[in-house]
Amino acid sequence: MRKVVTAIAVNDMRLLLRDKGGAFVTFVFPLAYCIFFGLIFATQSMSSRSIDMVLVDEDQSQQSASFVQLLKKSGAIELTMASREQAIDQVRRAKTAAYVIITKGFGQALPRVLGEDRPKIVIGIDPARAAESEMVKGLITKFAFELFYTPIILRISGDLPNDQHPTKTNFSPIEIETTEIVQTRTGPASSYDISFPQGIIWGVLGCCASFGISLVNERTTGTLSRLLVAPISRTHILAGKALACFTSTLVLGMVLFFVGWLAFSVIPQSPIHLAISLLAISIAFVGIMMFISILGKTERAVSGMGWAVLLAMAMIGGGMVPRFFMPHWMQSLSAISPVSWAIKAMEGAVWRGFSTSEMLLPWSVLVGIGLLFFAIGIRGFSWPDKG
Amino acid sequence: MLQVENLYKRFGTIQAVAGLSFNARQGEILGLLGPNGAGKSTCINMVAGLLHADSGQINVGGLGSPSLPAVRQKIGVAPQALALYEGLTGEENLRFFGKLAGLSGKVLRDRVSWTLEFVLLMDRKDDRLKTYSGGMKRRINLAAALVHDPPLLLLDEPTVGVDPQSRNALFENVLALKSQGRTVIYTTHYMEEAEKLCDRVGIIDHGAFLAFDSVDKLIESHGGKSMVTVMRHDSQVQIESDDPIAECVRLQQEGEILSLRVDRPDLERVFLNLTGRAMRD
Ligand SMILES: Nc1ncnc2c1ncn2[C@@H]1O[C@H](COP(=O)(O)OP(=O)(O)OP(=O)(O)O)[C@@H](O)[C@H]1O
Ligand SMILES: [Mg+2]
Repeated sequence: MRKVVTAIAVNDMRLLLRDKGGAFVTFVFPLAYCIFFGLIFATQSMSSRSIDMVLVDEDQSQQSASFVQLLKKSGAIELTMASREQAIDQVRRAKTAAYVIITKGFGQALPRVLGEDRPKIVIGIDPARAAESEMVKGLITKFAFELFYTPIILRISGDLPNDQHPTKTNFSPIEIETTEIVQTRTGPASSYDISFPQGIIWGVLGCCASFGISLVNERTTGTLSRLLVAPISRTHILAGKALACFTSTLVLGMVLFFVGWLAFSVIPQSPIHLAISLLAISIAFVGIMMFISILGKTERAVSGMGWAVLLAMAMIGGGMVPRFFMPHWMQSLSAISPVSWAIKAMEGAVWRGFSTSEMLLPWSVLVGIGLLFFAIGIRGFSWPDKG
Repeated sequence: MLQVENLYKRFGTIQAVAGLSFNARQGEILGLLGPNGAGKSTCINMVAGLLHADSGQINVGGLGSPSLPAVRQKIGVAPQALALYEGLTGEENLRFFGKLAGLSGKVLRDRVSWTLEFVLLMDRKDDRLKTYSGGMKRRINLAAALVHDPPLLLLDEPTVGVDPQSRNALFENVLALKSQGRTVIYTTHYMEEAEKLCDRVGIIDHGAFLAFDSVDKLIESHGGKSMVTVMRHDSQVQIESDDPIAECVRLQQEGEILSLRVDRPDLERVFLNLTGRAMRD
């Protein structure tokens, strides 16, 4: 009898795909949302960007102090001071982009800038941040020149031919050692990390509404009666409907994330968590689909009421405006919306770096929502033989 | 093939079906004839397992009540209200309903083509239903009842809106089904259809049978006399008679006849005599 359930599900999905409006709402619109808001957020965050670093002065000499002064004055870097342990920890936990350690003996090495044991600086940075790493190295070298070399240049530049001027060669007055610190990322890699989960929510809502409405459509066109007189049980019929909605939601989520990965580098930190999140979201919204289908007797009524409910869920759940833009009280209120749990489940897997135990909460809430709404939907469902 | 006993169904204050009992034998076409609201569709829907009777028993092929899926396997229904997927093609509709009935593979393909031929829509099979005319949809609706080749067919006004040519072809086909041993319950307003197709006809009004018999017997017992109309040079004579042939012979002996018409009573008359009203206004 599994075949029958599959047949019903396949039939439903075929009907959805045939319906141009349905396909638009469930796929094209969400993708446009992902890209559009990704672009908007992108320009916002890029403009106010400077590298933040934590600086460790182990030398504590007069020279190291003036080097720190130079770095601070430049404005290209946000600097905080810390101990070596604090610095390493901060970078590892991605609180700061990089650390710079001015090693002991830095000041004493000053006169030996041309020799073997030059003054040494250690930079710690995530290997993934290649561009920032180069930028930091460049800055350090530049300031090292200013600090140590200017007096020497002033002294000897008169004697050198112009093309051998020390600042024009690859020569660096200090030794820069780079330590790779693999960060546990805790922020979105790009604005698309935020816009994709949000856009996918719209696809999920579209799926949910389309199938809820199609269920009512089956009743009004009488095809539900046809299904009832077929040699199958009501459980099969509902299972087929649920499977159609479940599969479409899941496939939609996967396809949109795939597009995000291919075209916008939306790389989930944990693909397995993301897969489970999408499963849980699909379960939740199958239940909500069943619930929506009982909100009215006609397609028009269900469409109106259904979208009203879904839009409210999206509004307070962070589907329209990201939750972090909301005032605090609204953020806590949004926990009553399934949408907020769905977004949390996706973000937890994509960029929030949730552990499996942290993921359990959104997953179980979503599955619970699904079961609850499904039960309500089935209880309230009016079969054509009931009057 | 089908036993129906003392079926009752009430919708609110309306007693739609009030104590229907009948049997249909294998290979029989049984007509349910009655005016709008008589309770025909309600009866069909209960036999199909779509409605639960308030009381009474339905037994299909000795297997039991149609509330069991295995019993519904034996039934094909063409509901009065079209129930089809407009977004699918004719063939896709039939394939889907065939799958629901458990068909697959070659059997499914063969049955789908067979039914498309049956309803004369092979050439339109790849068009979406929303591009079909009303009569074509009605024919696919009928085809959907046949696709899994059930021994019992419930056809609720299957020819409404179907043009006369297609209708005649469908009649032929329904008669062919009967000769293959299928049992057909056929509701209609059209007396001619019932007379042409049905072995027995139940005349139904207010949810109950007024009469139930073969068409000939119904006419014999409830149709009244035949009407013989004779045109002479100077007059027209109309005479009711139980024996129209004898009456004609007698009239000819009385004088020259220019034209002669014998109107046998039909089911329309039967209905009129039984209820005092015409079947259709
Ligand atoms: N779902 C329903 N709810 C309420 N009343 C109903 C329902 N279905 C049928 N009825 C009523 O039951 C009576 C019988 O209806 P039914 O459809 O069986 O008639 P019918 O003989 O098929 O008529 P028609 O020739 O018009 O198809 C009618 O009075 C109708 O109004
Ligand atoms: Mg009817």
